[in-house]
Amino acid sequence: MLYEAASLAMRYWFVVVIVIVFFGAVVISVKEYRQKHFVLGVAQNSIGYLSILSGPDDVLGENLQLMQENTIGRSRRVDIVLADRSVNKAHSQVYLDEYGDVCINRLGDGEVTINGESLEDNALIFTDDIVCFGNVVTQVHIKEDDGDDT
Amino acid sequence: MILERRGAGALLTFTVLFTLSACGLLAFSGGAFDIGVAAYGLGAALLLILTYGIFSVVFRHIDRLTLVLCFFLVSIGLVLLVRLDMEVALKQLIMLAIGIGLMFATIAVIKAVKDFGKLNYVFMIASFGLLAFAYLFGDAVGGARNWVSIGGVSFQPSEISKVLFVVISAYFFAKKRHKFASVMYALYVGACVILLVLSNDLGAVLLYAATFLIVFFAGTGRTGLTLLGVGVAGAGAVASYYIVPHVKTRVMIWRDPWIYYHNQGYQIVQGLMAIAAGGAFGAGLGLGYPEAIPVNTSDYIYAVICEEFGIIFGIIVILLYLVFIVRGMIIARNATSRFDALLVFGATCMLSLQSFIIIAGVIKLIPLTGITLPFISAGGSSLIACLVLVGIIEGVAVKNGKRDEKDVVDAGGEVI
Repeated sequence: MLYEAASLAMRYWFVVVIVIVFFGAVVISVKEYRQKHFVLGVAQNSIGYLSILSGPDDVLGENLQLMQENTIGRSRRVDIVLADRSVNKAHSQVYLDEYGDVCINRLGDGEVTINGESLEDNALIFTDDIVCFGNVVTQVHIKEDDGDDT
Repeated sequence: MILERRGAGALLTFTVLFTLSACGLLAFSGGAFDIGVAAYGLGAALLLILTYGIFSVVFRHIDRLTLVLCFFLVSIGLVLLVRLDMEVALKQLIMLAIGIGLMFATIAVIKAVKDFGKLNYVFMIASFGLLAFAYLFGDAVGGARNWVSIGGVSFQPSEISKVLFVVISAYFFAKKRHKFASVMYALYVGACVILLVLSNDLGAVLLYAATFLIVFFAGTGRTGLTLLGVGVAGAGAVASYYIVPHVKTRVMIWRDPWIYYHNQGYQIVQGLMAIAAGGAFGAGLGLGYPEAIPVNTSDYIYAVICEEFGIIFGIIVILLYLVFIVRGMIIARNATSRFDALLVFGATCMLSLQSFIIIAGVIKLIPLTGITLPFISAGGSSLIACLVLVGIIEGVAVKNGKRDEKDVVDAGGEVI
């Protein structure tokens, strides 16, 4: 009698478990698919990233993705936001030139240095270069061309 | 930029809770507490947790959710086998451990190889040889001559052969081959189907033919030839209805099993009555009468699921297979090579068709053909073959994951 009662009661538990497993699997799958789609989309179109070595707390230690063309500055309207007083609203631009090299230029009078040397007009940047935008210090990482058509 | 893969661990927890609670309940089914049943549940749960842990560490990029879905289906099978026959359940647990070992080896191999190259011709001979051996020296069980006994160990060669069939098909459709290879492959497929027809293994015939056609279409994209293939297969099925008495009987029973209730239709009718008796929430674990259904541990286990756990549970089991299939298809779509894509596609098709054939047979949607329900039914060869197919899917998932991680890390992100 006791077993019968327990078994009848546990029928609902088993249904609850399988419903959780099913919906859990669906929700995780959808979430994972969307996130993967987004992250890999960004990763595959990225040309590298800037590691923030010193600067505002909200981005310190982060890697900021570089796409084909990026405007860097303090304004929320630019691609890479560095919320620091020493950075102009639109401070600099990093882009992929027609030869596949990564270039950097200044916008306005913003101070940009590459490995300690001031940038006058524009210059090429390479992996491990230290680039400063005002007081924000970054390290450059350029994605190696592995022969993919990305 | 972080690529997260979370949540599968939580679902594993529910899988373990399901196994422990069901075995805990069954331990009291005889009146007194049966420590053997409780220990079985604990052992099964530990095996699943350990496997998940080891696989996640060794193969960092494994598709964890696919693994957990497979484990949940396996645990439903283990619980029902404990309920039906403890001896069979113990054997199944041992086979599960062996299958997990082979799954591990398969992932390692698939991760390392490109497409097996010329070895595929050896696979072809081995696959055909196994079916020929079963036909010549096999024992007939349930009308089909598909069991072979060597040194006291019985197995179904068609189960091993079907794994090789998936690999061979992926290889031959991955690239445009010269005439010799195409002729060899066509001869191989034809010979396999003929041998299975002669062995009366109708479920396997349906499985091989349908998998071939689907992989053919995916590999070549030739709609006309695929439709021609479907037509030939349909004509073959109609012809076999008139030529093979076994097929005719199956169709007749399917059309109206009630008039054959006392002989050939008994199994179908009992299955249908069991499903109906279960109702929405089931009769309760251990409270149904699955003993009345013939082959209740193997082909007809789906009827037992519906009787004891209810139709809602039964429908969600089908939905879990669907989620499994969708995840397999996503892995195939993201594969790094055409061979890998077709390999996963073939393995997923094989498992999904197998589930469809037997569930549809049990609920009288199509004529019944003797075949096991993947991961759930009792049967060492079947469980091992299914786990090896999961190993194939997971091996490709590992390759995909490695490539994705490289992309993400190169862009300054990380995968956790």
